[in-house]
Amino acid sequence: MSRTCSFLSGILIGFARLFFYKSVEKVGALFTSSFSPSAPIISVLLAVIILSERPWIGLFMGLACIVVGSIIIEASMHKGSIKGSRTSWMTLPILYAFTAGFNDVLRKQALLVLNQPLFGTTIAYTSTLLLYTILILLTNNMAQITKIENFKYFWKSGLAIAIGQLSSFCALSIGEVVKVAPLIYTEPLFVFMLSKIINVRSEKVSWKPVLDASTILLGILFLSIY
Amino acid sequence: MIEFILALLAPFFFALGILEAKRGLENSNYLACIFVMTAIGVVILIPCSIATTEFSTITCQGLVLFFLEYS
Repeated sequence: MSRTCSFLSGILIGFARLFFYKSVEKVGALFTSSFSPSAPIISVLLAVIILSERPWIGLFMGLACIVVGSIIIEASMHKGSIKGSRTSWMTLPILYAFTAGFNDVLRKQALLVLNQPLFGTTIAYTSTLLLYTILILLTNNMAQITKIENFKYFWKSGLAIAIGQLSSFCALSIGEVVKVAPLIYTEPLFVFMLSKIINVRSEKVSWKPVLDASTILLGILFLSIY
Repeated sequence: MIEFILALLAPFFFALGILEAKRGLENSNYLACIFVMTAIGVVILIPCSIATTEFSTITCQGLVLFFLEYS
């Protein structure tokens, strides 16, 4: 049962990063990251079902807060805070949250079989690179994608994400998914803080997404209490 | 305790990566972004992995699960 579920989720996970960065491109980093806390709902539920991890009262309180936070974000969308032309792209962060939710459970399942986080991260990266190479070859974009300018633009983010992935692998290797996964999705707080520090010029930072994210983070706090 | 620190380090670095990627996306597209970021990760991780992994412990099942886990 668990192997079948892991296999099926693995097929979906290949698209998580595609959804995420397309979403960053179309609706912005802050808005996309505001949806990230929804992923622990999927992670936690699947961890309880597939990995037989033990739920507790804080789990249910946390999930309730996360759902409320997500509803607040959706409500703000309908009030015209997001441009109409962007509406169809709103599904991207949602799809990302769902596929990323599967990811943690599959990752833990793999680490239970083979507890080598660095090796696991490398294999996952290599398989991802293979997937994207095929995708790019199919769209005949390889020459354009592999321009040296693109490496200049993205090498720093590549390094940061690799360290982040390794950290999450190590955390999942040591702890249970229901305790660790919610913390991994506290990105909005860091995105907001770093936005202030780095001062990303292309995206206006307002307090509303932070308020929405804070509601979700309260849920994550509940999830972390045990 | 260490798992909580690691779990919080992950979103910090993810956020850093996201914001840097956002800057790059002003001049490029998302396909280039995900490809370059993944390629950079592979270049960094493979030597580290070769240096630290105990290859005698690797099982086929674990390998397949990690391979399926497209991060």
